[in-house]
Amino acid sequence: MGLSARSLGYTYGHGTRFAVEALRGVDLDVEAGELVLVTGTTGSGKSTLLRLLAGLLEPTTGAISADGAPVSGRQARGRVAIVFQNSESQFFAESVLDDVAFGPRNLGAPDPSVMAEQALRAVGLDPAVFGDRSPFLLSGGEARRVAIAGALAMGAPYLLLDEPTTGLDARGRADVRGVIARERTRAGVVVVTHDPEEFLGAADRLLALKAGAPVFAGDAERLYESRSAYESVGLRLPEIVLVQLHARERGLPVAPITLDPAPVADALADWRRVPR
Amino acid sequence: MIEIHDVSVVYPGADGPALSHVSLSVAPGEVVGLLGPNGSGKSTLARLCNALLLPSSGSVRVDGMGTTDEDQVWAIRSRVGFVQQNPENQIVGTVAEEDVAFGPENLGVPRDELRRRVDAAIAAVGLTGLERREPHLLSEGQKQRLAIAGALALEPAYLVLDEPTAMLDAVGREDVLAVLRRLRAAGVGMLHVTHDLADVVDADRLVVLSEGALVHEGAPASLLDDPGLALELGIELPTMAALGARLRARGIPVPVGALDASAVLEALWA
Repeated sequence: MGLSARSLGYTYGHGTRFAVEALRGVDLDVEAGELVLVTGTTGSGKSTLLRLLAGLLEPTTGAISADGAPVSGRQARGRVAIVFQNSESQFFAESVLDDVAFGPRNLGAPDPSVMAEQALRAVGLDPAVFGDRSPFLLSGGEARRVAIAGALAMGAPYLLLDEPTTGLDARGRADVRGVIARERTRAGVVVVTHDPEEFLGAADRLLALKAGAPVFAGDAERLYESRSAYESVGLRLPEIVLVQLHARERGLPVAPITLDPAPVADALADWRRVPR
Repeated sequence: MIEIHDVSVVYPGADGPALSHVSLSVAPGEVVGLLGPNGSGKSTLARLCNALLLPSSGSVRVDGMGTTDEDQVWAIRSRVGFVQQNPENQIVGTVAEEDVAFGPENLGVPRDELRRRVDAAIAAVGLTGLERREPHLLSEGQKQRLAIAGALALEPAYLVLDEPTAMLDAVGREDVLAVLRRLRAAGVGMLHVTHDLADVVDADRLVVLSEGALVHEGAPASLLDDPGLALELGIELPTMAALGARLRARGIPVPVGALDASAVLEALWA
């Protein structure tokens, strides 16, 4: 069950002399209640994978299923919702409510406004306050949440987000992380990010891609233990992780690796007080 | 010197001012980091510096020239280069070197001089060898460096950078920051807008905006060594700065502003 991809591959311009293989051999599973991260540098195939899962591209190889039924191309609509990077740049309606209602209205839903209001509440925006506002006059964090609401309004059981916190300030990013935390209680969520630190604490699993192929797939927390896998992706290990790995080499019993400075500071300071 | 004096900006139809009685200066060769949440007026302030936007009240002067003086606008824009958050919005050429040449060519810079400037600007951002590359084939970090080269080709005394790393991955970000460090060493003054304090820990000064008002100004240590103040101002401390502050509080002398693991490890084993 869940949203499941097997041996997924995609070649742009397949069968032409301009063919470029963007993705190969990718397996991915996400169940309701789970958050799966996909990471890698720019050009690693992250966004191609997301477009395949959303049915915007048909896989060249492999298959995708949702809850046991094959989904690819248009079959994915209604089952898998996608929030593009900087999706607020696609606002076009005069009011927030109209913009969010666009998706369900297009799918012929009986009461698109009600679905839009529910979606706005789900992202923490009161429809009575925000519904009539222009989507172009929102703060960065509000705009991003309205864009996410547009995807939620489709009521799909799987939600894909491409770099959902890019360009937001600390409060905006925290708001978006809060929305994702709430949504995953209902849906299966896949987040594409080049900054896995942002979500790592909350994620169940992580898939790291390099040049279109998986180089790490597994328990998100284990990634930092696997320094070579992390660095082979072309990502930089966070400095606070390096501190802990080096301290371990010197005999400090730090475990597990964390991104939270408080326990790290305590462990280091306590350890230093002990004469050696 | 870029001198912003008692400036307010009110956008037509807006409820309140986007900037309210802000004064700020950037001296030649000085690097000023400008922080604040979304909607605090950072981009508005940045756009005042080269007459992309004119103040509703107050004055902005660049090396003595007022931005409201129409005769000086082009002189001001060749003194103050502007780099946007999304390089896609400012790349116009069909190949990299054409894009870099666009500004000075428009100002009528002669052919030989143009070649020299373009080569120097491309070298300054580390894109030598990619002169004939089409911009869409560059990585995001390379595109942003190309946008910086386009600004540098005007040989500006100052650069205003509006969140130049916001859309980049870790590698692209580090490449852009390395270029900015080299430009600083070459004496270019900078106003660097960001909401990531880690980008500007080495700045000469930090300025924080909130709801259009300047609410804090000081050395980077004024925030890095005071997590309470940073929190109050809505500025997220980099993880390593928070770790450093906690270790200092426990008597371990991690230098303020050191964000790399080696500085912490050295302090631990000192």
